[in-house]
Amino acid sequence: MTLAALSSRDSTMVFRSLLQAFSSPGERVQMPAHLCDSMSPLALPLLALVDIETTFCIPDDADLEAEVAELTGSKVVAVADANFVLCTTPPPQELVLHVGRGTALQPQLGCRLIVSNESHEDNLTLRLSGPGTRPESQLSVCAAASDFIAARNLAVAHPPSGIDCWLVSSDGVVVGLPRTTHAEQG
Amino acid sequence: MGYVSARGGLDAIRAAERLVRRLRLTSESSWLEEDQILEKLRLLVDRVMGEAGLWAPRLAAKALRQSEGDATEAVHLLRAYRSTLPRFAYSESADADDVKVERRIVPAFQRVPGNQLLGRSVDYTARFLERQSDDMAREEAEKLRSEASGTPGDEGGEAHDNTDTTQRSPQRLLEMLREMDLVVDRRRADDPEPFDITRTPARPPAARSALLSSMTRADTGALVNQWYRNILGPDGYLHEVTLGEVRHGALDVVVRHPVTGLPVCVTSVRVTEVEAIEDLEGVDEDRTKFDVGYGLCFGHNERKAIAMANLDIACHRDAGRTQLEQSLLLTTDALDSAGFLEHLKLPHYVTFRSMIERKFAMRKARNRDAS
Repeated sequence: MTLAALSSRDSTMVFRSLLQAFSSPGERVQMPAHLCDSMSPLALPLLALVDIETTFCIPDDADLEAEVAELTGSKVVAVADANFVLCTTPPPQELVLHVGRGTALQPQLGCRLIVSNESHEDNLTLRLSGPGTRPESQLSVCAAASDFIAARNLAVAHPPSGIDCWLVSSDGVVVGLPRTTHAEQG
Repeated sequence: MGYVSARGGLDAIRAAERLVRRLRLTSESSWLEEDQILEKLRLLVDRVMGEAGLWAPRLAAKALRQSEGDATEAVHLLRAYRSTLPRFAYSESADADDVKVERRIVPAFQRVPGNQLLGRSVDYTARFLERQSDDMAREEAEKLRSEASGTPGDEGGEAHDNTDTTQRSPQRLLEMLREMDLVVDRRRADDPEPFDITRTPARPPAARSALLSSMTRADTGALVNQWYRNILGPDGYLHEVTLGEVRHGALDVVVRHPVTGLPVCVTSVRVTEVEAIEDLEGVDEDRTKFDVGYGLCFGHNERKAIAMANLDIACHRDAGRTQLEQSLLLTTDALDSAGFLEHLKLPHYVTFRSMIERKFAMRKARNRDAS
């Protein structure tokens, strides 16, 4: 599926979905269906959020990276310098530990990591706690993502710096895992 | 009496959110159209756009309707929306001399090039509350409309009468003063990138562009208060300030076409621009000359632009001796100040419980010492 630039209305709708996902970690939030039907849902967060003043990188898909850069005018940079990083498969530990976490004074500079997350029979279930979670909040991730989750937990161990993650599935469901959320295997 | 902490309920919060929406949408009166807000409350729309830092009249009207007339809340809505929009391009630098004025006054000089153009302003109207009935007001409006339509070339209203191109782009008083060598020349040869306060908070000591940007987005009331405090308040030192220009007009916004690279006008914004002339009398200043402060903001908001121009020059002359720059940068933003104030309404159960416990501990220690 080819991508297309989002209208300001569509961009706002995607933004609202992502904001809702961060507000309620673990909640499955459906991104706008009409967009998910016509282009890769994984790219929607980038199409909505990056622009000529932000940087991004897609380390495992150069074609997708070039297409997003073309549509948004956003600059492609190295993983460590990127405001947004998209991974089409669960990222290895080294990558997660390499992305920017911001500083105590400028925690907003921490990277937003967008990760593909598909359902499998061998999915891991994570118990979530922290602001915005409910007592029963859970997150289901594919087994291959266990390294990613372990690295993510290390990356958020020294608040307020850290990273914020969205897990996106191919049907357009997004789940937020902000740095304030504690995730452990249940 | 015990002090027990409680946990706020998500369901209660959602119910409160629904209540606001339901009562706003289902009120008995007829639907408030955006056009009505744009036309009848135009100055409020301008103020909201200015403080939001976003030129979007229809969105500002929507925000005012949603906020039920709360200007600060409307600014909050617009800024939040603005932050979700991608930036596609940077505009070309605009020259304030390209403003097509709808109003221009020069309080400092009676006869200036281009003349005075009073335009649409309540400055010259009596402050009598009009208490005529709605029917009478409608009748008068109808009569005025028919009179206007019967006058060829008068669609733009009285202010547009007999106004030629020269009057729309008049020479500045400042140019005259420069020709007379009466103004300190602070123009710089280089052209540094302006400080973007939407990306990085400005902190003193800040570039002049950061100060001007902060003031142009500041709360109008806060800026007027800062100016008045500077004049008559505890900071008090009397400035001999005269306004050189007060302008309100339209300015084109030009961007480079991403494909052709040619300049393209994408919209026109209205701005209020003020130049304030300050009489220099400090021991380390050139007393044979004047200096000039500058103010510019979105929409028609003369109060704000005048305060801004006066504070610009006051800040320059102050040169960090007082907290003026800090006050301007850190305390005049409507969202910063109102946000901090309103956060006090959020639960403070834990902090207050610790304060109570400290009081009890101190009382216990005092009683122990007394016995």
